[in-house]
Amino acid sequence: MLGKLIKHEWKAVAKTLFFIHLAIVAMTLVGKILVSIKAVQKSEILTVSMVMVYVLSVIAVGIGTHIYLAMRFYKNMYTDEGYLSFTLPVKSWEHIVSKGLIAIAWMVIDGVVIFASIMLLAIPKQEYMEFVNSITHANWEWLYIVEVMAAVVVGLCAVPLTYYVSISIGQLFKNHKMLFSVIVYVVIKNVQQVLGVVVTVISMLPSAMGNMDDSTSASMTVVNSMMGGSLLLQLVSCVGFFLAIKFIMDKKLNLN
Amino acid sequence: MEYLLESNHLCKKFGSLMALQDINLRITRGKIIGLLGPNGSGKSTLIKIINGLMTPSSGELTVNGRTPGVETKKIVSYLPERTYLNEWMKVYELLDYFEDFYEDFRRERAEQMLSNLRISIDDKLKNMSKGTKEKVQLILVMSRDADLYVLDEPIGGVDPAARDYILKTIIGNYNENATVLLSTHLISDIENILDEVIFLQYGQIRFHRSVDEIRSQEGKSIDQLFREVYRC
Repeated sequence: MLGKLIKHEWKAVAKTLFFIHLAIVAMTLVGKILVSIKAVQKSEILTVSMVMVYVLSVIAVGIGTHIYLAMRFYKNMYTDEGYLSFTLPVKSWEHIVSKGLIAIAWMVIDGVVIFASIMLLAIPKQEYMEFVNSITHANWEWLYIVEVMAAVVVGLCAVPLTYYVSISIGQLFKNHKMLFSVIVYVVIKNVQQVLGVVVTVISMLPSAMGNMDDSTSASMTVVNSMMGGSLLLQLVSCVGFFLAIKFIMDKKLNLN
Repeated sequence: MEYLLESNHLCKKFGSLMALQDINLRITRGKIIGLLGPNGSGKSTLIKIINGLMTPSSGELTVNGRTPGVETKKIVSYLPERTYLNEWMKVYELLDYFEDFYEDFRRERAEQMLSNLRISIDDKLKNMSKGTKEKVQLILVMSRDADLYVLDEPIGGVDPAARDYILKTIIGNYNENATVLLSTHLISDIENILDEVIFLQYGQIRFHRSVDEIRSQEGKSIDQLFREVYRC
Protein backbone atom coordinates (compact mmCIF):
# COMPACT_ATOMS: atom_id res chain seq x y z
CA MET A 1 0.00 0.00 0.00
CA LEU A 2 2.95 2.33 0.64
CA GLY A 3 3.81 2.22 -3.06
CA LYS A 4 0.27 3.18 -4.02
CA LEU A 5 0.25 6.04 -1.55
CA ILE A 6 3.55 7.31 -2.95
CA LYS A 7 2.21 7.08 -6.49
CA HIS A 8 -0.95 9.05 -5.68
CA GLU A 9 0.97 11.57 -3.61
CA TRP A 10 3.28 12.23 -6.52
CA LYS A 11 0.31 12.65 -8.87
CA ALA A 12 -1.35 15.05 -6.46
CA VAL A 13 1.52 17.50 -6.14
CA ALA A 14 3.47 17.04 -9.38
CA LYS A 15 1.34 19.19 -11.67
CA THR A 16 1.52 22.42 -9.69
CA LEU A 17 5.14 22.05 -8.67
CA PHE A 18 6.22 21.07 -12.17
CA PHE A 19 4.75 24.25 -13.61
CA ILE A 20 6.22 26.65 -11.11
CA HIS A 21 9.65 25.10 -11.63
CA LEU A 22 9.19 25.18 -15.37
CA ALA A 23 8.63 28.91 -14.93
CA ILE A 24 12.05 29.24 -13.28
CA VAL A 25 13.67 27.31 -16.11
CA ALA A 26 11.95 29.52 -18.70
CA MET A 27 12.97 32.63 -16.81
CA THR A 28 16.59 31.48 -16.66
CA LEU A 29 16.68 30.92 -20.41
CA VAL A 30 15.05 34.28 -21.16
CA GLY A 31 17.46 35.93 -18.71
CA LYS A 32 20.44 34.28 -20.37
CA ILE A 33 19.34 35.62 -23.75
CA LEU A 34 18.62 39.13 -22.44
CA VAL A 35 21.97 39.36 -20.68
CA SER A 36 23.75 38.72 -23.95
CA ILE A 37 22.00 41.63 -25.68
CA LYS A 38 24.20 44.76 -25.71
CA ALA A 39 21.34 47.26 -25.38
CA VAL A 40 20.13 45.52 -22.24
CA GLN A 41 23.63 45.49 -20.78
CA LYS A 42 23.85 49.27 -21.18
CA SER A 43 20.56 50.10 -19.51
CA GLU A 44 21.07 50.09 -15.78
CA ILE A 45 17.37 50.37 -14.93
CA LEU A 46 16.56 47.38 -17.11
CA THR A 47 19.32 45.29 -15.58
CA VAL A 48 18.39 46.18 -12.02
CA SER A 49 14.68 45.51 -12.54
CA MET A 50 15.44 42.22 -14.29
CA VAL A 51 17.59 41.08 -11.41
CA MET A 52 14.93 42.19 -8.94
CA VAL A 53 12.18 40.24 -10.71
CA TYR A 54 14.42 37.21 -10.95
CA VAL A 55 15.50 37.23 -7.32
CA LEU A 56 11.94 37.72 -6.07
CA SER A 57 10.65 34.92 -8.31
CA VAL A 58 13.29 32.50 -7.12
CA ILE A 59 12.52 33.32 -3.50
CA ALA A 60 8.79 32.95 -4.18
CA VAL A 61 9.25 29.55 -5.83
CA GLY A 62 11.59 28.36 -3.08
CA ILE A 63 9.27 29.36 -0.25
CA GLY A 64 6.16 28.54 -2.27
CA THR A 65 7.25 24.94 -2.75
CA HIS A 66 7.63 24.45 0.98
CA ILE A 67 4.34 26.14 1.83
CA TYR A 68 2.56 24.15 -0.87
CA LEU A 69 3.91 20.85 0.44
CA ALA A 70 3.02 21.72 4.04
CA MET A 71 -0.48 22.81 3.00
CA ARG A 72 -0.95 19.65 1.00
CA PHE A 73 -0.29 17.63 4.17
CA TYR A 74 -2.68 19.76 6.20
CA LYS A 75 -5.45 19.64 3.60
CA ASN A 76 -5.16 15.98 2.77
CA MET A 77 -4.94 14.77 6.37
CA TYR A 78 -6.73 17.23 8.63
CA THR A 79 -9.51 18.88 6.62
CA ASP A 80 -12.51 17.22 4.92
CA GLU A 81 -10.16 15.21 2.71
CA GLY A 82 -8.94 13.52 5.90
CA TYR A 83 -12.25 11.62 6.04
CA LEU A 84 -11.04 9.71 3.00
CA SER A 85 -7.32 9.58 3.84
CA PHE A 86 -7.93 8.15 7.28
CA THR A 87 -10.48 5.57 6.13
CA LEU A 88 -8.16 4.07 3.53
CA PRO A 89 -6.93 0.66 4.69
CA VAL A 90 -3.39 1.89 5.37
CA LYS A 91 -1.35 2.49 8.52
CA SER A 92 -0.75 6.03 9.68
CA TRP A 93 3.03 5.66 9.33
CA GLU A 94 2.52 4.92 5.64
CA HIS A 95 0.82 8.30 5.24
CA ILE A 96 3.74 10.05 6.95
CA VAL A 97 6.39 8.19 4.96
CA SER A 98 4.70 8.57 1.56
CA LYS A 99 4.06 12.28 2.01
CA GLY A 100 7.52 12.83 3.51
CA LEU A 101 9.35 11.09 0.66
CA ILE A 102 7.50 13.02 -2.03
CA ALA A 103 8.08 16.28 -0.16
CA ILE A 104 11.82 15.51 0.11
CA ALA A 105 11.96 14.64 -3.58
CA TRP A 106 10.43 17.99 -4.49
CA MET A 107 12.61 19.92 -2.09
CA VAL A 108 15.64 18.36 -3.77
CA ILE A 109 14.30 19.12 -7.26
CA ASP A 110 13.53 22.66 -6.09
CA GLY A 111 17.04 23.10 -4.70
CA VAL A 112 18.72 21.71 -7.81
CA VAL A 113 16.65 23.86 -10.20
CA ILE A 114 17.27 27.06 -8.26
CA PHE A 115 20.97 26.31 -7.77
CA ALA A 116 21.44 25.51 -11.46
CA SER A 117 19.55 28.63 -12.46
CA ILE A 118 21.68 30.90 -10.30
CA MET A 119 24.86 29.18 -11.51
CA LEU A 120 23.87 29.69 -15.12
CA LEU A 121 22.89 33.31 -14.74
CA ALA A 122 25.06 34.83 -12.07
CA ILE A 123 28.31 32.89 -11.84
CA PRO A 124 30.87 33.28 -14.65
CA LYS A 125 32.00 29.97 -16.10
CA GLN A 126 35.56 30.32 -14.84
CA GLU A 127 34.57 30.79 -11.23
CA TYR A 128 32.14 27.94 -11.52
CA MET A 129 34.90 25.63 -12.77
CA GLU A 130 37.13 26.72 -9.92
CA PHE A 131 34.35 25.92 -7.46
CA VAL A 132 33.90 22.44 -8.92
CA ASN A 133 37.65 21.90 -8.88
CA SER A 134 37.97 22.94 -5.28
CA ILE A 135 35.35 20.40 -4.31
CA THR A 136 36.71 17.52 -6.33
CA HIS A 137 40.35 18.11 -5.48
CA ALA A 138 40.01 18.86 -1.81
CA ASN A 139 41.59 16.45 0.62
CA TRP A 140 38.46 14.89 2.04
CA GLU A 141 38.53 12.89 5.18
CA TRP A 142 36.35 9.78 5.11
CA LEU A 143 34.62 10.41 8.39
CA TYR A 144 33.86 13.94 7.26
CA ILE A 145 32.26 12.75 4.02
CA VAL A 146 30.13 10.21 5.84
CA GLU A 147 29.06 12.85 8.33
CA VAL A 148 28.18 15.32 5.60
CA MET A 149 26.15 12.71 3.75
CA ALA A 150 24.35 11.68 6.94
CA ALA A 151 23.72 15.33 7.81
CA VAL A 152 22.19 15.93 4.37
CA VAL A 153 19.89 12.90 4.62
CA VAL A 154 18.80 13.58 8.18
CA GLY A 155 18.50 17.30 7.46
CA LEU A 156 16.23 16.60 4.50
CA CYS A 157 14.02 14.29 6.56
CA ALA A 158 13.80 16.87 9.31
CA VAL A 159 12.26 19.53 7.06
CA PRO A 160 8.92 17.86 6.22
CA LEU A 161 8.76 16.15 9.61
CA THR A 162 9.01 19.55 11.34
CA TYR A 163 6.18 20.90 9.17
CA TYR A 164 4.06 17.82 9.77
CA VAL A 165 4.52 17.74 13.54
CA SER A 166 3.68 21.45 13.78
CA ILE A 167 0.54 20.97 11.70
CA SER A 168 -0.45 17.84 13.63
CA ILE A 169 -0.15 19.68 16.93
CA GLY A 170 -1.85 22.76 15.48
CA GLN A 171 -4.91 20.79 14.39
CA LEU A 172 -5.51 19.69 17.97
CA PHE A 173 -6.85 23.19 18.66
CA LYS A 174 -10.49 23.87 18.07
CA ASN A 175 -10.02 27.03 16.02
CA HIS A 176 -7.20 28.81 14.18
CA LYS A 177 -5.51 25.49 13.46
CA MET A 178 -3.12 26.99 10.93
CA LEU A 179 -2.15 29.88 13.18
CA PHE A 180 -1.34 27.47 15.99
CA SER A 181 0.63 25.30 13.57
CA VAL A 182 2.81 28.28 12.67
CA ILE A 183 3.31 29.15 16.34
CA VAL A 184 4.28 25.55 17.14
CA TYR A 185 6.72 25.62 14.22
CA VAL A 186 8.40 28.79 15.46
CA VAL A 187 8.65 27.37 18.99
CA ILE A 188 10.17 24.10 17.75
CA LYS A 189 12.71 25.99 15.63
CA ASN A 190 13.75 28.18 18.54
CA VAL A 191 14.09 25.28 20.94
CA GLN A 192 16.20 23.47 18.35
CA GLN A 193 18.45 26.52 18.00
CA VAL A 194 19.08 26.69 21.72
CA LEU A 195 19.65 22.94 21.97
CA GLY A 196 21.93 23.19 18.95
CA VAL A 197 24.17 25.69 20.71
CA VAL A 198 24.24 23.58 23.87
CA VAL A 199 25.12 20.43 21.91
CA THR A 200 27.84 22.25 19.99
CA VAL A 201 29.47 23.53 23.15
CA ILE A 202 29.30 20.15 24.84
CA SER A 203 30.65 18.29 21.83
CA MET A 204 33.56 20.74 21.47
CA LEU A 205 34.70 20.31 25.06
CA PRO A 206 36.47 16.93 24.89
CA SER A 207 38.40 17.68 21.71
CA ALA A 208 39.23 21.22 22.80
CA MET A 209 40.80 19.85 25.96
CA GLY A 210 42.59 17.08 24.09
CA ASN A 211 45.85 17.05 22.18
CA MET A 212 46.34 20.36 20.41
CA ASP A 213 49.82 19.71 18.98
CA ASP A 214 48.72 19.12 15.45
CA SER A 215 46.41 22.07 14.85
CA THR A 216 44.88 20.85 11.57
CA SER A 217 43.87 17.45 12.80
CA ALA A 218 42.66 18.98 16.08
CA SER A 219 40.40 21.43 14.28
CA MET A 220 39.11 18.61 12.10
CA THR A 221 38.28 16.62 15.22
CA VAL A 222 36.41 19.59 16.64
CA VAL A 223 34.46 19.97 13.41
CA ASN A 224 33.75 16.26 13.35
CA SER A 225 32.44 16.08 16.87
CA MET A 226 30.41 19.28 16.42
CA MET A 227 28.78 17.83 13.36
CA GLY A 228 28.27 14.55 15.12
CA GLY A 229 26.55 16.39 17.97
CA SER A 230 24.15 18.35 15.80
CA LEU A 231 23.53 15.28 13.67
CA LEU A 232 22.52 13.36 16.73
CA LEU A 233 20.22 16.20 17.76
CA GLN A 234 18.59 16.25 14.32
CA LEU A 235 18.19 12.49 14.36
CA VAL A 236 16.58 12.50 17.79
CA SER A 237 14.21 15.30 16.68
CA CYS A 238 13.23 13.36 13.55
CA VAL A 239 12.40 10.21 15.49
CA GLY A 240 10.52 12.23 18.11
CA PHE A 241 8.53 14.13 15.48
CA PHE A 242 7.66 10.96 13.61
CA LEU A 243 6.37 9.25 16.75
CA ALA A 244 4.44 12.37 17.77
CA ILE A 245 2.72 12.64 14.38
CA LYS A 246 1.86 8.95 14.45
CA PHE A 247 0.46 9.21 17.96
CA ILE A 248 -1.70 12.21 17.03
CA MET A 249 -2.99 10.51 13.88
CA ASP A 250 -3.82 7.29 15.73
CA LYS A 251 -5.21 8.66 18.96
CA LYS A 252 -5.92 12.37 18.77
CA LEU A 253 -7.43 12.94 15.37
CA ASN A 254 -9.64 16.00 15.48
CA LEU A 255 -11.52 16.22 12.19
CA ASN A 256 -14.31 18.77 12.21
CA MET B 1 -22.47 -15.75 17.51
CA GLU B 2 -20.18 -13.15 16.04
CA TYR B 3 -21.85 -9.84 15.35
CA LEU B 4 -20.85 -7.63 12.45
CA LEU B 5 -20.74 -4.66 14.78
CA GLU B 6 -20.59 -4.92 18.52
CA SER B 7 -19.92 -2.45 21.27
CA ASN B 8 -19.61 -2.91 25.00
CA HIS B 9 -19.89 -0.05 27.47
CA LEU B 10 -18.58 2.32 24.83
CA CYS B 11 -17.98 5.85 26.14
CA LYS B 12 -16.56 8.97 24.56
CA LYS B 13 -15.80 12.08 26.56
CA PHE B 14 -14.84 15.50 25.27
CA GLY B 15 -13.55 17.31 28.33
CA SER B 16 -16.50 17.19 30.70
CA LEU B 17 -19.03 16.45 27.95
CA MET B 18 -20.18 12.85 27.59
CA ALA B 19 -20.73 12.46 23.85
CA LEU B 20 -21.40 8.74 24.15
CA GLN B 21 -22.33 6.94 27.33
CA ASP B 22 -22.40 3.20 27.86
CA ILE B 23 -23.32 2.23 24.32
CA ASN B 24 -24.03 -1.50 23.96
CA LEU B 25 -24.84 -2.45 20.40
CA ARG B 26 -25.27 -5.75 18.61
CA ILE B 27 -25.68 -5.49 14.87
CA THR B 28 -26.08 -8.52 12.61
CA ARG B 29 -25.57 -8.93 8.88
CA GLY B 30 -28.21 -8.42 6.20
CA LYS B 31 -29.97 -5.42 7.72
CA ILE B 32 -30.67 -1.81 6.82
CA ILE B 33 -30.53 0.09 10.07
CA GLY B 34 -31.44 3.69 10.71
CA LEU B 35 -29.27 5.55 13.22
CA LEU B 36 -31.60 8.30 14.31
CA GLY B 37 -31.47 11.13 16.76
CA PRO B 38 -31.46 14.91 16.96
CA ASN B 39 -28.33 17.01 16.47
CA GLY B 40 -25.77 16.42 19.18
CA SER B 41 -27.17 13.05 20.17
CA GLY B 42 -23.87 11.30 19.41
CA LYS B 43 -24.53 9.90 15.93
CA SER B 44 -21.45 11.43 14.34
CA THR B 45 -19.23 10.44 17.26
CA LEU B 46 -20.39 6.85 17.02
CA ILE B 47 -19.87 6.84 13.27
CA LYS B 48 -16.37 8.26 13.65
CA ILE B 49 -15.45 5.56 16.17
CA ILE B 50 -16.74 2.83 13.84
CA ASN B 51 -14.50 4.23 11.11
CA GLY B 52 -11.41 4.62 13.25
CA LEU B 53 -11.45 8.42 13.05
CA MET B 54 -11.76 8.61 16.81
CA THR B 55 -10.83 6.32 19.66
CA PRO B 56 -13.21 5.56 22.54
CA SER B 57 -12.50 6.96 26.00
CA SER B 58 -13.50 3.64 27.50
CA GLY B 59 -15.28 0.46 26.53
CA GLU B 60 -14.81 -1.18 23.17
CA LEU B 61 -16.25 -1.43 19.71
CA THR B 62 -15.50 -4.13 17.19
CA VAL B 63 -16.31 -4.64 13.54
CA ASN B 64 -16.30 -8.30 12.57
CA GLY B 65 -14.52 -9.01 15.84
CA ARG B 66 -11.71 -6.50 15.36
CA THR B 67 -11.18 -3.04 16.76
CA PRO B 68 -11.18 -0.35 14.04
CA GLY B 69 -7.94 -0.38 12.05
CA VAL B 70 -6.58 -1.39 8.67
CA GLU B 71 -8.47 -4.71 8.64
CA THR B 72 -11.85 -3.16 9.43
CA LYS B 73 -11.33 -0.32 6.96
CA LYS B 74 -11.07 -2.95 4.25
CA ILE B 75 -14.63 -4.08 4.90
CA VAL B 76 -16.33 -0.84 5.95
CA SER B 77 -17.49 1.56 3.27
CA TYR B 78 -18.05 5.00 4.74
CA LEU B 79 -19.90 7.97 3.36
CA PRO B 80 -19.16 10.99 5.54
CA GLU B 81 -21.40 14.00 5.77
CA ARG B 82 -18.58 16.05 4.22
CA THR B 83 -17.41 16.13 0.65
CA TYR B 84 -14.04 14.51 1.03
CA LEU B 85 -13.04 14.41 -2.62
CA ASN B 86 -10.11 16.29 -4.05
CA GLU B 87 -11.44 19.19 -6.08
CA TRP B 88 -8.76 18.93 -8.76
CA MET B 89 -9.53 15.32 -9.61
CA LYS B 90 -11.55 14.05 -12.52
CA VAL B 91 -14.12 11.32 -11.92
CA TYR B 92 -12.02 8.62 -13.59
CA GLU B 93 -9.05 9.56 -11.41
CA LEU B 94 -11.24 8.98 -8.39
CA LEU B 95 -12.21 5.59 -9.76
CA ASP B 96 -8.48 4.79 -10.14
CA TYR B 97 -7.91 5.92 -6.58
CA PHE B 98 -10.67 3.73 -5.14
CA GLU B 99 -9.62 0.80 -7.32
CA ASP B 100 -6.05 1.08 -6.05
CA PHE B 101 -6.89 1.20 -2.38
CA TYR B 102 -10.02 -0.92 -1.99
CA GLU B 103 -9.84 -4.48 -3.19
CA ASP B 104 -13.62 -4.76 -3.06
CA PHE B 105 -14.20 -1.80 -5.38
CA ARG B 106 -16.22 -2.71 -8.48
CA ARG B 107 -15.35 -0.25 -11.21
CA GLU B 108 -17.96 -1.47 -13.72
CA ARG B 109 -20.69 -0.94 -11.18
CA ALA B 110 -19.52 2.61 -10.52
CA GLU B 111 -19.28 3.41 -14.23
CA GLN B 112 -22.78 2.03 -14.81
CA MET B 113 -24.28 4.16 -12.05
CA LEU B 114 -22.42 7.25 -13.23
CA SER B 115 -23.76 6.81 -16.72
CA ASN B 116 -27.28 6.27 -15.36
CA LEU B 117 -27.01 9.66 -13.72
CA ARG B 118 -25.37 11.15 -16.83
CA ILE B 119 -22.17 12.04 -15.03
CA SER B 120 -19.19 11.87 -17.38
CA ILE B 121 -16.06 10.24 -16.01
CA ASP B 122 -14.04 13.02 -17.62
CA ASP B 123 -15.77 15.70 -15.55
CA LYS B 124 -13.77 17.57 -12.97
CA LEU B 125 -15.08 17.65 -9.42
CA LYS B 126 -14.39 21.37 -9.30
CA ASN B 127 -17.02 22.09 -11.96
CA MET B 128 -19.77 20.05 -10.31
CA SER B 129 -22.68 21.24 -8.21
CA LYS B 130 -22.74 20.20 -4.56
CA GLY B 131 -25.53 17.71 -5.26
CA THR B 132 -23.61 16.08 -8.11
CA LYS B 133 -20.52 15.76 -5.96
CA GLU B 134 -22.59 14.02 -3.31
CA LYS B 135 -23.93 11.63 -5.90
CA VAL B 136 -20.41 10.80 -7.11
CA GLN B 137 -19.31 10.19 -3.56
CA LEU B 138 -22.27 7.91 -2.84
CA ILE B 139 -21.65 5.96 -6.05
CA LEU B 140 -18.02 5.41 -5.05
CA VAL B 141 -19.04 4.21 -1.60
CA MET B 142 -21.82 1.94 -2.86
CA SER B 143 -19.62 0.43 -5.58
CA ARG B 144 -17.65 -1.43 -2.97
CA ASP B 145 -18.59 -4.96 -1.96
CA ALA B 146 -18.25 -4.06 1.67
CA ASP B 147 -19.58 -5.89 4.71
CA LEU B 148 -20.72 -2.74 6.44
CA TYR B 149 -21.84 0.49 4.81
CA VAL B 150 -21.92 3.50 7.08
CA LEU B 151 -23.79 6.33 5.44
CA ASP B 152 -23.93 9.66 7.23
CA GLU B 153 -26.77 11.79 5.85
CA PRO B 154 -26.65 10.24 2.38
CA ILE B 155 -29.69 12.06 1.07
CA GLY B 156 -29.43 15.38 2.84
CA GLY B 157 -28.12 17.52 0.02
CA VAL B 158 -29.85 16.16 -3.05
CA ASP B 159 -33.21 16.74 -4.71
CA PRO B 160 -36.12 14.31 -4.17
CA ALA B 161 -35.72 12.63 -7.58
CA ALA B 162 -32.06 11.89 -6.93
CA ARG B 163 -33.05 10.83 -3.43
CA ASP B 164 -35.17 8.02 -4.86
CA TYR B 165 -32.34 6.95 -7.13
CA ILE B 166 -29.91 6.92 -4.22
CA LEU B 167 -32.21 4.85 -2.03
CA LYS B 168 -32.74 2.43 -4.88
CA THR B 169 -28.97 2.30 -5.27
CA ILE B 170 -28.50 1.54 -1.62
CA ILE B 171 -31.05 -1.25 -1.60
CA GLY B 172 -29.87 -2.61 -4.94
CA ASN B 173 -26.21 -2.76 -4.04
CA TYR B 174 -25.96 -4.42 -0.72
CA ASN B 175 -26.11 -8.16 -0.46
CA GLU B 176 -27.57 -10.27 2.29
CA ASN B 177 -24.21 -10.66 3.91
CA ALA B 178 -23.82 -6.91 4.33
CA THR B 179 -25.44 -4.36 6.59
CA VAL B 180 -26.20 -0.71 5.95
CA LEU B 181 -26.12 1.71 8.85
CA LEU B 182 -27.46 5.08 7.87
CA SER B 183 -28.07 8.26 9.76
CA THR B 184 -30.48 10.91 8.59
CA HIS B 185 -32.98 13.55 9.62
CA LEU B 186 -35.25 12.72 6.68
CA ILE B 187 -36.93 9.77 8.32
CA SER B 188 -40.13 9.64 6.28
CA ASP B 189 -38.09 9.31 3.11
CA ILE B 190 -36.25 6.25 4.29
CA GLU B 191 -38.50 4.51 6.73
CA ASN B 192 -39.85 2.09 4.16
CA ILE B 193 -36.45 0.59 3.57
CA LEU B 194 -35.40 0.23 7.19
CA ASP B 195 -35.33 -3.10 9.03
CA GLU B 196 -34.26 -1.71 12.38
CA VAL B 197 -33.88 1.64 14.06
CA ILE B 198 -31.53 2.88 16.75
CA PHE B 199 -32.67 6.01 18.56
CA LEU B 200 -29.89 7.97 20.20
CA GLN B 201 -30.43 10.67 22.79
CA TYR B 202 -27.90 12.56 24.90
CA GLY B 203 -25.23 10.08 23.91
CA GLN B 204 -27.22 7.06 25.02
CA ILE B 205 -29.27 4.47 23.19
CA ARG B 206 -32.93 5.23 23.79
CA PHE B 207 -33.89 2.01 22.05
CA HIS B 208 -32.87 -0.38 19.31
CA ARG B 209 -35.84 -2.20 17.79
CA SER B 210 -37.06 -3.73 14.59
CA VAL B 211 -39.32 -1.56 12.47
CA ASP B 212 -41.97 -4.26 12.13
CA GLU B 213 -42.15 -4.55 15.90
CA ILE B 214 -42.63 -0.81 16.28
CA ARG B 215 -45.33 -0.69 13.65
CA SER B 216 -47.29 -3.63 15.05
CA GLN B 217 -46.88 -2.80 18.72
CA GLU B 218 -47.16 0.95 18.65
CA GLY B 219 -49.20 1.35 15.48
CA LYS B 220 -47.07 4.29 14.46
CA SER B 221 -44.67 5.16 11.71
CA ILE B 222 -41.04 5.73 12.65
CA ASP B 223 -41.43 9.37 11.72
CA GLN B 224 -44.33 9.78 14.16
CA LEU B 225 -42.47 7.93 16.86
CA PHE B 226 -39.39 10.09 16.33
CA ARG B 227 -41.44 13.25 16.71
CA GLU B 228 -42.96 11.96 19.95
CA VAL B 229 -39.71 10.74 21.47
CA TYR B 230 -37.80 13.89 20.72
CA ARG B 231 -40.59 16.42 21.26
CA CYS B 232 -39.03 19.71 22.31
